[in-house]
Amino acid sequence: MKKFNINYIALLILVVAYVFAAGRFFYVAGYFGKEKEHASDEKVVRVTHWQLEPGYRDALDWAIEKYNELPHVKAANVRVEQAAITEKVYNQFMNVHLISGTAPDIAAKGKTQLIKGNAVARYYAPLGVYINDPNPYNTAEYLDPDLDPELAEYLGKASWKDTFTDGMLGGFDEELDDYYAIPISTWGSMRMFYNAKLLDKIKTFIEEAMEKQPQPAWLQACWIKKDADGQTTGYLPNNQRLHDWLKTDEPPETMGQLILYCEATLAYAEAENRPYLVPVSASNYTISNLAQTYEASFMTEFTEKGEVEIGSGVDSFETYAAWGAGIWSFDSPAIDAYYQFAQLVNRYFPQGYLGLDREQAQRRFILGNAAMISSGGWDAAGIFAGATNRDDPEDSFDVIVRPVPMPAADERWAEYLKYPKSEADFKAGVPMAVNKQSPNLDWSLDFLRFITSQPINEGLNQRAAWLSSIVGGENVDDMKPFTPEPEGFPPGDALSVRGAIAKIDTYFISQSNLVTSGDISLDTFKERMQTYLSSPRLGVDNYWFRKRQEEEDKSVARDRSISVEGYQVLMDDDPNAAIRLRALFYNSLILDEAINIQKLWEEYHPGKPFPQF
Amino acid sequence: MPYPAQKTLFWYPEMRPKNNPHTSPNSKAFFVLLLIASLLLGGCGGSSNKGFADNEARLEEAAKALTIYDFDKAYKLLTPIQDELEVGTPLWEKATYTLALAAWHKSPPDSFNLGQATELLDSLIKHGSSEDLVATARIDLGRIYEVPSYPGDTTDVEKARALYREVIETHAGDDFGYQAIMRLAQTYVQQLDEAGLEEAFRLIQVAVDDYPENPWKAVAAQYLGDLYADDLGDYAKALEAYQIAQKIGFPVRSKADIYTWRMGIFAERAGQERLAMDYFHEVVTDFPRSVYGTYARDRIATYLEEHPDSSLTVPKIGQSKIGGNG
Repeated sequence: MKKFNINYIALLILVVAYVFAAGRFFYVAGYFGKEKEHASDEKVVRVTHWQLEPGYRDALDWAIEKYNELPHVKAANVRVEQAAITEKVYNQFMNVHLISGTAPDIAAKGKTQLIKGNAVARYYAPLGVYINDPNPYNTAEYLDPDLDPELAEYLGKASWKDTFTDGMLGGFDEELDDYYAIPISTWGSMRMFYNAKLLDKIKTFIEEAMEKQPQPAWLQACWIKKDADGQTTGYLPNNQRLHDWLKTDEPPETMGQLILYCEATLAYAEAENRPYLVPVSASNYTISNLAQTYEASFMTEFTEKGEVEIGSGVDSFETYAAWGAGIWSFDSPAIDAYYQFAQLVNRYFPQGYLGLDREQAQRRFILGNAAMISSGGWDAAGIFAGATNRDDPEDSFDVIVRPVPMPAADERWAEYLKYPKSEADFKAGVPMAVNKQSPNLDWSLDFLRFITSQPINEGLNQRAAWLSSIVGGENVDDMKPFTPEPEGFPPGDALSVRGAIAKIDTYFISQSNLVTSGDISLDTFKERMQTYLSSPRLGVDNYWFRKRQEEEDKSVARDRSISVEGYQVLMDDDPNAAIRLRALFYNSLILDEAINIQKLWEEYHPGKPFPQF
Repeated sequence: MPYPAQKTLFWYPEMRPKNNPHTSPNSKAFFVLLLIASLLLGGCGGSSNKGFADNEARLEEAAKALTIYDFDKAYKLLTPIQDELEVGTPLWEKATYTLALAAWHKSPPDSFNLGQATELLDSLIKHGSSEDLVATARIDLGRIYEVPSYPGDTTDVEKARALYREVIETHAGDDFGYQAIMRLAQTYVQQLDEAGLEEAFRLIQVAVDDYPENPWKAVAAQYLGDLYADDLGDYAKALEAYQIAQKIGFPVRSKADIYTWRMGIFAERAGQERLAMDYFHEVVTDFPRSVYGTYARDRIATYLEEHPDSSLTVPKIGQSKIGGNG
């Protein structure tokens, strides 16, 4: 008898697993790809997103329920459903379903590596053609009769696009020069959250310390002065502005006051024997790193020389290319100043903060073990709820939200920190895109018009505790401090020392963390960066080579888009495609075949051959 | 020689030892598995082979696929019918052009696909009767000759230039004429030498000065302005060109605030400080969402300190519309 080959068992398992996976794929494909077959021929419009923050899904459910109850929606047997997917698998989920043509009708755009650049046009419908008409759900019959008549008239007549607080820019794709999504909420800007209870106690602690004779050493070290060598020490003057501030309930209004407040928190924690109390609850979540919040402001002084095209800012490639050309160096006074500041701020973070995540940092603040935390509006609802709903009411505290303070003219580092980052070009978020292959395109658009009507969008965002994305949307009081501030420098108008190609970025971040934490000296940091960036295979030369390759690849992709838009102009006489075509064509002229990179190389390194690897 | 069994089992059968009791059944099993997989996955790719009422319906489906960047599908749909169509008819023209674009852009880009795209575009140029289609086919063919599509792809810039020149002759002043003259100029800019740059300036200047005003003139004018600023440092000329583009409307509308800011800087660098202030004023007042608002306002404020008699005023930075403020 022939001996049974044990490998057949493995093979059988493999076949069964494959058949099961394939069967499941076709089942899921059928579920998502076609309208789900119901006995009543109901049309189901599916909405997918990754906003799992407290309250958001309930708020969206409320809006969906309102829509499903509309008479014309009921009559058409249409129903909207939401499926929130965790951001950890959103990328894979969307990639698989978009490629297989089985994606939900409406999906939050972003979080997908695949659906970027020109691929957006492949999978999502361009919406430019729909956004110039007024939103029918902003007519009088849907608006609150008590709404300001002028506002009601505006909403009724304005184009859909112009009813958005950001002019619908949150759905605009610059590369494709068209709108590919409808943003339904705004999360606002980065802000400081202060524990009001601690604020009161620590300000009193500062006042008491100021009255002592002599003042404690930590306080004396805060007063700005020049030492015998002409070096500036301290951070702020002991002046009337400070005394006035101490009498108020306001958090720090200048950067000098912020530093004083942090120093006082450290001294207060020691005096009160509270070893877990820290000034700033930081973590590996970049937004919560106060030093990095100021980093770009310190780096603005090189912009004019490093900016390749006026008004384009300085990206990470241009930053390191400018370093290679000697336009700036790690020996620059502004870099020294930044690392002095970062080392100082690092003392205010919990020990080992880089091992903590975003939730742990929030928990520390909510438990009253941090005087402040920096984060965005998306975390506000969670922080407010956590701070006020404590088991023991004695532990609860109010939260005060304020913008990050800048130094007054007579404070330390004022010469570098002239402006905060401008928030003028804020964009509304949760951009909902319509699947290009959706059989329910009309209903999807109708639903998006409905949830971006003034009353529904206001209701949705009030329930979610986010900011409305529609003009006239009233926001909950807690969220008002997140309103974007237009005053400031253009965010791209600073050296981008972060975000370079992986080899450089990883090295920079690790060395920067080491110098910030005091594990290496600033001189060692500078020396290591100099050596690394000068290394041909790892440093800036390699970056030039990679960048040119990347731009050449983009040229091919851009030609593809030009062909498709040109085809639509030629065959369908589509005026929106004509606008997109001209925008793409212009970009092709100035960027094609990495001409911009080659010109820059010539300018920075005349006569030298372009790096090859 | 040691036998690297797992690595070579299927890929190098000639290295497989004879009479190995384990390899043969496994190979069979692999092919059985492959067969099952082919049968199961066969259903996924059937869409392009489904029946169409006529060739027009098939072409329509291919055109739809092309507009969603599904070049493979468009290619598969049109390849079987391409030879059946009567040369020179509108249906043939459209199918030939669609198939050419699909062949050009389908993955992977290789000599076969590009060769086929080249042949189709050539055929369209020879036999096509639609002037617009022939013009666009020439420009596309020029791009194929000019731009390397894959590593090792050979280019022929002179052939590309000849094609662009043909379009410039037949379509001077219309949309295709603008595109061709800019593509031709671009080939000279990419020479990265003085002679090339001179020729590029001459060509674009022709488009800006002599071609009729339409939205494509804005593209040409802005490109000209960029070259004056970046390559010659002639900010006065750059500003003149940008003024033409601004009047017609910048091609990338979403960056109009940045281009206006840029015009202010051009004017400053050209010594026209008062004019610069007008552009900065425009940045603040016409683009309340511009991140350059603060810089623009502060530049005006500084100017006013030095020129207190000026009729200018310092504009206020726009407030966000959130919360109904707008």
